[in-house]
Amino acid sequence: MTEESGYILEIKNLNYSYDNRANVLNNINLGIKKGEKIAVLGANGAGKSTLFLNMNGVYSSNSGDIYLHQTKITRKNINMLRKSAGYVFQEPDSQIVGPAVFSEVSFGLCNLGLPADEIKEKTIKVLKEMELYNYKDRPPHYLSGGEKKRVAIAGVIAMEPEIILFDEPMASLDPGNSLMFEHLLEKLANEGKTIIISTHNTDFAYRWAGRIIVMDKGNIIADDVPVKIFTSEEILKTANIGKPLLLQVYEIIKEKYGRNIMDYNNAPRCINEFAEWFCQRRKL
Amino acid sequence: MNTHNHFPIDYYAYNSAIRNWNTGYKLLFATGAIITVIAADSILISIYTFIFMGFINTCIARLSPGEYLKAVKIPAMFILLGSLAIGTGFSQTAKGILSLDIGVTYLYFTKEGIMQMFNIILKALGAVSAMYLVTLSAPAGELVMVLKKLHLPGIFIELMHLIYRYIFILLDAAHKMRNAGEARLGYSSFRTSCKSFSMMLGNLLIVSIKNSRSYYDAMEARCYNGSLEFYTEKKKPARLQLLLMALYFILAAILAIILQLEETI
Repeated sequence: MTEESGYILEIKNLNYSYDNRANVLNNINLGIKKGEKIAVLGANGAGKSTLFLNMNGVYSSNSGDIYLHQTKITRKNINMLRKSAGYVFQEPDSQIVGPAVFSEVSFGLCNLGLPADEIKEKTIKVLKEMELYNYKDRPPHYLSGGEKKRVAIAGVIAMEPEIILFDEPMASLDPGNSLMFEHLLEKLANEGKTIIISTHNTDFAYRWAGRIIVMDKGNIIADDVPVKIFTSEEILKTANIGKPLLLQVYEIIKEKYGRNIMDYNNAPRCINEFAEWFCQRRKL
Repeated sequence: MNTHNHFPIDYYAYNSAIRNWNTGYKLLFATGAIITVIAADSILISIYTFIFMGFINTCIARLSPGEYLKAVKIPAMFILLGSLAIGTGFSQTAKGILSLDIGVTYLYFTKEGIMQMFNIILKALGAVSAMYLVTLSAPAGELVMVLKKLHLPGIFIELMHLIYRYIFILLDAAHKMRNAGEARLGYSSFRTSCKSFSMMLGNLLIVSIKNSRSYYDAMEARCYNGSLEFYTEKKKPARLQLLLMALYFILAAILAIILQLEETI
């Protein structure tokens, strides 16, 4: 069955609990295709980070299986999963271990056991891409929050994962760094990476994601395209997530001036699209 | 840049103009100089080393003389107090070149005692200045790499790396908790200070234990498999640096020969 599924990562009937009492993750089923842009929404404690840690292979499930390219992940090939699904933690300080930026970024590559020349080459390449090369000898405690975040991301990208999991990446970034991060996402998407982001920012999720997964109390309660998710009052209410601002405005305008019934076929997803749609309507 | 609670020594090392010199070379130079000072056991060579190392630390490593003296002052205080005890003697009768009657006994100084005291002070200062060649110019992480090359057991190397990394996180957390306590008048009197401080310590322990788990997860997430490895760039010492080291030892040798000759004459 999985042979033709086309999933690079597939999770089947996964259950996870920290202490064998209450399940933190309940019967998770998920298939991820190459190049997807997925946002994971849900309240604090819904199980987003735990799901990521399972997807990356740091936690091993109580029951259920994970398949990477149709290969079942076991204790023996767990490093395959850890390498293929890179995990960028929410707090860069909990991720950085190296005494300086260069050694930090090389950490994952050293763990993969690559030859020294290759490690050096890849580290330098990533440092330049992330505009960190000038900081390469700086110890992490002399970096700003945004720089630390970039170092943490660089450390994961250096390992060239197919899938990158970002845990609330923009939670502590200033607007400038957030913008930089969105450019990076674009670049990674162009390189064919699969990106999964957990976030509370529905505006961002609506604008960026091609697919949204909603979690509530350890369950996946919805998994669909953004418009479907954000127009379902039931989902929004259960998971306690807000409606994106643009969608709200769109609905209000449609309701007030639309002669026909509400349709979301060409609902604008970003400011530019909205402006275009608005001007067309008003024939400006 | 987050510099509000750094260790000055770490900060100096990071900003040193000779930070990118080969760390093994620095360690060899410093160790050699320390051995020279101790083996020579002469005031002149101690002073010479102190001046030579001071020159490297300030003129070449670009540490300001004020900062350098501040760094030297810390061990200097210990050395001074410790040596004072060596230079003084107790006696029932007044003797030596200076004796103080302190009631029950006499505190006295002899010429030999004072000379010995000066010798020890200068020897220690000379050795400290040589040690500072390493401590004020090599960040801890790089020193650990050299120790690794010297085949120190892996467990020590990893502990050193992790302690160096997490001590700053711990300090940062403590600093934030302290501020949070101050903001709520937790340190307004001696009693509340004691209480807030003890609560902070307890909190730090809990937070540390909790965080250690997520730190370990983060390492595992990047395929950590039991041995902490980082890539280190190889930096060969330049010819000028080698010449500098040679200059020190040649001058020291010349000084030693002159001293020897004077003694025989």
